[in-house]
Amino acid sequence: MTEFEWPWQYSFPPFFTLQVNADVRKTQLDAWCALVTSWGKQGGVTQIDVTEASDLAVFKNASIHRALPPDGIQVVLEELVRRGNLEWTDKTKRRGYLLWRSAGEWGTQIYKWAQGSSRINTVCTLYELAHGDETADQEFHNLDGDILLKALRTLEASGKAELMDFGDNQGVKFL
Amino acid sequence: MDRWFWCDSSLSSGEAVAASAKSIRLYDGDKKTGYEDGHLTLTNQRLLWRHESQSSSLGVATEPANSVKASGSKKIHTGILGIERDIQKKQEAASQNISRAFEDLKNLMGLAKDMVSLSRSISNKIKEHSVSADDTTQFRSYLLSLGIDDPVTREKYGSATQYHHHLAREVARALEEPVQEAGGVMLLSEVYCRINRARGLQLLSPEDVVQACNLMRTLDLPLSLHTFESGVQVVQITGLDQDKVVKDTAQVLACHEGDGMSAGDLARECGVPLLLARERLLQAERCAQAVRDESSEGLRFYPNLFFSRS
Repeated sequence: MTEFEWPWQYSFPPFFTLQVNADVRKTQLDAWCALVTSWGKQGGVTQIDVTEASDLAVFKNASIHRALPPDGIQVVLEELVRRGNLEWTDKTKRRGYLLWRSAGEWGTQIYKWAQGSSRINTVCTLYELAHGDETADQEFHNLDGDILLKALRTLEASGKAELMDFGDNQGVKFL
Repeated sequence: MDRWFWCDSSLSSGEAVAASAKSIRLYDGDKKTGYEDGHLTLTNQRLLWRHESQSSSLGVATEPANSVKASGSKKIHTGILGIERDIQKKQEAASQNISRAFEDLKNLMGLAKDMVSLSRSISNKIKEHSVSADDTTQFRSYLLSLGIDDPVTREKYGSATQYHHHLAREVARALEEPVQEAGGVMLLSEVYCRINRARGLQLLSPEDVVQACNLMRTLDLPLSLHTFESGVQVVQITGLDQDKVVKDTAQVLACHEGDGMSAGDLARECGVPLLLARERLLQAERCAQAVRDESSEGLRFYPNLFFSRS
């Protein structure tokens, strides 16, 4: 895996202080969301635990002795939720799935793949989709099971797929 | 209370007749008394009334006897020693006046007149005697720094608003130049100190200064009061270009892109008070020209690279 290339903001001390000016804060949060999602994508991070977030490399830069304070992390995470890049696992909001693509985007991508490989009206298991040889070159290869399920649910909601339960295994039929 | 008393008609030693009159009657208020057709004598010590038929007189002392004694004893120290003691005594009294004057402001106000006349007499002495040139110029400069010859006082203007109006004009007149020199903005506390220094003895209360500064805007004066969001009050040149101040601050910040600036750094670099430097940075932040960095090292500001770089 190549070294993650930190954006310039990461070594700019004010980046680690929530800005007061509303316009500036918006730009700052844009940069934070872009950083967290691209960092998650690069490092294969799929879940963020709020209590452990301050230990994540993305939220602190030891070389300039700066770290985003907990309330700052909270604001960034809330912003990610608002943009659909983070989904809380439950109502306590202690853990969240990091979606560097939103569930809907994943769904569209999977459906595109299904169309491209003539899998409409056929059934695939979720394991096949995430870990099968045929998806090895796809971005959603090795995608977290829960996120995959969420992506497929969005397809189901728009009538492009149907989820099936085979007891201990789940499958999907593309329509 | 003085009363008439019977006493010896003959004059004591050192007593001299100053004036005398005949056929004088004594009255008790409006009422006539039996003491009529007498001879009245005024000496340097007593007032005597004597009827020709009597040997003793009715007298009233015009001056306490002991003061005569004191003045007599003073006479002993004549010559150089006496003059020296005299001067020393005067100096002591003057220095006592000065230290009493500074005990508190109330006393100072009470003694203001004495102080003024003292300073006048000193300056007159300097004119009369040729004190060394250095001393003279130094003293002149002290007098000059006292500044305003005819300060606006509450007594001169009956109503409080009238007083504050005139005061506002005076402050604007006296401080326009210093404010301009300080970059167009001066803290209210400094305005208070400067105007009181310029007035010398007619000291103003902080409330009066604030009231006067508040009125500046309505009077169309070259200076006006400005309150920052943080509550810090400054007097600034009317129509001071805020954008220009922000731009200047941003320019200074741009030179510190790498390490940022604290309010103290800006104060040192631009030669403005710390409080004002802080306000400038906050103002620049409000205008999205600066961004903050809060850390264990304190609050620092950086140029807004969020906008300029992305």
